[in-house]
Amino acid sequence: MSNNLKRELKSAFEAPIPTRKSSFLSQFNYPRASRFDFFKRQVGYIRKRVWILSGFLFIGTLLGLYCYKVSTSFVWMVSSVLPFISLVSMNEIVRSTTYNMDELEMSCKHNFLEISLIRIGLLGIGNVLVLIGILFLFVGKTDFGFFRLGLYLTTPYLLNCYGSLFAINRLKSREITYVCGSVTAFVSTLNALFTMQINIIYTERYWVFWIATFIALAVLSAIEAVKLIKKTGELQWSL
Amino acid sequence: MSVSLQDQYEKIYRYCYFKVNNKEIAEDLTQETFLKYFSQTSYINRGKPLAYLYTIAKNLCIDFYKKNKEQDLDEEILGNDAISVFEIHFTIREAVSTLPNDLQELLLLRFANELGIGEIANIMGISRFSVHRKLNKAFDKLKAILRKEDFS
Repeated sequence: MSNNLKRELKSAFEAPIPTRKSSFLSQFNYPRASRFDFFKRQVGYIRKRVWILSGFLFIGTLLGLYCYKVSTSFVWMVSSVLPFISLVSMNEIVRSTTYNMDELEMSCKHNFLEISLIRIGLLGIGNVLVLIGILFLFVGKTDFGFFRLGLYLTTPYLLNCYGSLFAINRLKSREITYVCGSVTAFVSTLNALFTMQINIIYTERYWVFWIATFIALAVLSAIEAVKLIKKTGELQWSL
Repeated sequence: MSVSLQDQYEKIYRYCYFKVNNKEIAEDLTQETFLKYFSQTSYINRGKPLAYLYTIAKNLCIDFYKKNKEQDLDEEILGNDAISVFEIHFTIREAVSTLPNDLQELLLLRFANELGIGEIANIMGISRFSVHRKLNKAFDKLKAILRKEDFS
């Protein structure tokens, strides 16, 4: 069937121009999307790979706990994998800041800063949920307490967050994803080597080192995150 | 809102016009469709909003036919606008009008309202496979009718 006929078919169903369309639409009070709807829509725009990878890590940890005895080595393995969750999230943030038009057009009444903040918030909530979930799985199965285990798992994650945000704020290339990937691989390898080489890294002796590193990285990451938000604000669109 | 009002108004109107063949009534039914659609606020953010919208329009058209059958107004309504609208591309229109109603509806949804196969399947309550099969059937019939023309 020729394309010509397909085109002609459209005209075969032509109807007279509606005369009351504009008056109806201008007076019609239809329900507008709520704030919660907006959040739900933004969840839909985040690529499935973020949730899938987070799910895989959680399930992997569950299986690991079920099949193997939890030891210090299992803690460093999980803490080395966690930066990859951060990588996927960073990748998503980069995508929002680089290719922002689609989401902007689809969200219409919300500006880019608002959308980016909600997106970052949602990704952050997702990551925190996975971290807390893993922490709860570990608690009672290792010699470490909840707080200490949290430090060991989140410090490499924070290092990756800081490294990636640092790169996102300074580089403008669209290939920033590869830079973030390299940062993640570096952090993950560094964490694995560090914990393997220094066997006593998880002992009381290094307690202060972990706390100091955690606080420093949290502060640095927060500074970089604020910079990113300010940078996004400069691109604010008024729709 | 899951369905864009501006985009859908004319498509629903075209659909209603196809069903009732009267400009004023088609527009009344279109507006009633949207009023009914938005009165069900619990549904619009879930499920298949486009299929729901078309189902409302279809049901309103059926109701309209039932009422007017009782009042015996059919001839008056259907006769009015048919002549003025179909002037250009007369052959195609004539050919399409000889097809069964369900095939005409299918062609309208697919080519005039530019809906996807999945959406059409939801609206018509048939499988995607059936939509493909019916589309091919409609094309074959059209080809047979237009064999002497320049379209095949």
